[in-house]
Amino acid sequence: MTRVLRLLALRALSAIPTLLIVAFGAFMLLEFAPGDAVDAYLAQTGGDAGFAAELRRSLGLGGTFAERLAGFLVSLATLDLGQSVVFARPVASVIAERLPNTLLLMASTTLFAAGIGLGLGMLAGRRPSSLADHGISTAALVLLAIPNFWLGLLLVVGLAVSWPLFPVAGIRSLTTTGGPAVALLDLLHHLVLPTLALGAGYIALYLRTLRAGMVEAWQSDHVRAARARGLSESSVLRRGVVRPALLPSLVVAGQNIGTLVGGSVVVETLFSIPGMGRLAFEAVTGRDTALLVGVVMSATLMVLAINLVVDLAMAWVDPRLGAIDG
Amino acid sequence: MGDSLAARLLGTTAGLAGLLLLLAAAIMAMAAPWLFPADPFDIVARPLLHPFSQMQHPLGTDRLGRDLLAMIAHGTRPSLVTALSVAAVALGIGLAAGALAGMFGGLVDELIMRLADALQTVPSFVVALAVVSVLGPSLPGLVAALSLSAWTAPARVVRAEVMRLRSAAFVESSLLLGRNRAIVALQVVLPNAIAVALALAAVIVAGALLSEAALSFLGLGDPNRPSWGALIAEGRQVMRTAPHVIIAPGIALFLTVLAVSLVGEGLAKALSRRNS
Repeated sequence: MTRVLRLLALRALSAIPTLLIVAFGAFMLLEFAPGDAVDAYLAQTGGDAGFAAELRRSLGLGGTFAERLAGFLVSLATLDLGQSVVFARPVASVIAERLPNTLLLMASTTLFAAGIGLGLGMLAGRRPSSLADHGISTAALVLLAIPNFWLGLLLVVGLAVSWPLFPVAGIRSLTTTGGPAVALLDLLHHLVLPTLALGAGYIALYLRTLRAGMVEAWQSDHVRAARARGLSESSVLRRGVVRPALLPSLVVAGQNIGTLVGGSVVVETLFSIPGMGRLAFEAVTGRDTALLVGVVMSATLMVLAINLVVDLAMAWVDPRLGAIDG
Repeated sequence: MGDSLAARLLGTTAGLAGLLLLLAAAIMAMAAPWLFPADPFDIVARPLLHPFSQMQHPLGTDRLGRDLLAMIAHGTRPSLVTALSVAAVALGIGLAAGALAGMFGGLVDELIMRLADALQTVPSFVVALAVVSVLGPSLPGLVAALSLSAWTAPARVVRAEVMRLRSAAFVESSLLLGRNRAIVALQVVLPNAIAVALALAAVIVAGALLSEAALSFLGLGDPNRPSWGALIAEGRQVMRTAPHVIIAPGIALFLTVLAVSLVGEGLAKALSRRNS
């Protein structure tokens, strides 16, 4: 248990410089964005220059660069993300409302992509350089080259319009009658096309990682040793090749949380899913810099938190991690 | 090294196929002004003409009656120029930062790597969105937005390679001869690390092509030049009745990204054969 706690403490400490750097970047965004919160506010209410100056002073927007930076960091530390101009509500409450939908999309995409990707990777890595391997590896390159927004549109045209199997947009039906089971089915029904659009590229990622690990494992000493001990070919495959190659897939899953959030900007916008990704887009088009800064900061926190969970999972699978010398 | 590496690249099926496709894209990018001398935004025919129905407009027209093939051809150059610039900038910064971090270690290493950590944690597409919204959709703005996160991968690879090579005999002897650390880093270690970074270049170019198209698709590109992403976005309104309007530019984008990935795959194979 102390091993896991030590790992946790280490990760939490290493997150601090990341958060500070991202916060500084977000502050520079506020500084360089044309117009500030006061301009945005006055555009709605009206007011003269004196009122604007007074408002700036009271919001901590005046003063020197260092004073403004300090004020920004203090309000971040107290989880005060400011006021959204577009929504006319606190940024934190808008984000809290949007976060679950994005987490849902990320979870379904990861499950889908890892399931198919690891399965195909196993088929390809079972006999490297075989016909199946070449076919699957080529398919992976094709999947990586398909633009997710384009795939999303094609899916809408094919599976929602021409052949109306799935809803065109949204995350749940406006009118649902029935119990929680019906609501869940409705949700999953809405998630199918966005998950396919976002997940296609990640199938290739999991596939390639598992395959590469398996190709390496086939040449390792422990596989030769297992064969020498007379283990059957299927148990060599299962225990000597697939198992050690699975761990890097977990690392890949952790490393790609950030790109998944980035991809959700496009896919959520495309499918009108009210999540964090679409919120980032709405913040940019609405010139709502406070909201954009809030999205950047909370997306960073989310990535750090998910990475922590992945690290704990790794520590659980691999006892060497977090040991005194490791 | 250049000669044999190129020969090996052409020897792989992936490398050869990728280079041929890329060559086609490059020719299209350069020949577009001669093949389609008129403004690609000109209205030339009936709107939503189907592909292959009129020989003058082989891919048909969009909802305003503009020639799709002309717009796709004119969109090739901006896409390629943006993606190649991103790769050049990201590799340049990544090589320099990775070499400095690996050579000096200590505080320099710490500063550079913590910055890389931060940029790899914050979602890169969201960063690009934010930077473009501040700098505007000009070429320098786009390149800055997309390079900001892209330099971290080559920096890490180069840093690891430099650390491995740092203790090699030929580097030690250069240092013993009294030469400056930074100059040794740049002159001796870099050429060795460049081969590794090159394989990453393909990944960066492919990613930049897709991200740039996604930004244009969201309406954050330059509205005054034809772009594949913007073409697809515009086609959305009519895609139910005329899907060719989104399919054609999407295939152009897909084939270009595929070409770059194939070249990268071939490059990685050629490099691994050279090392073994």
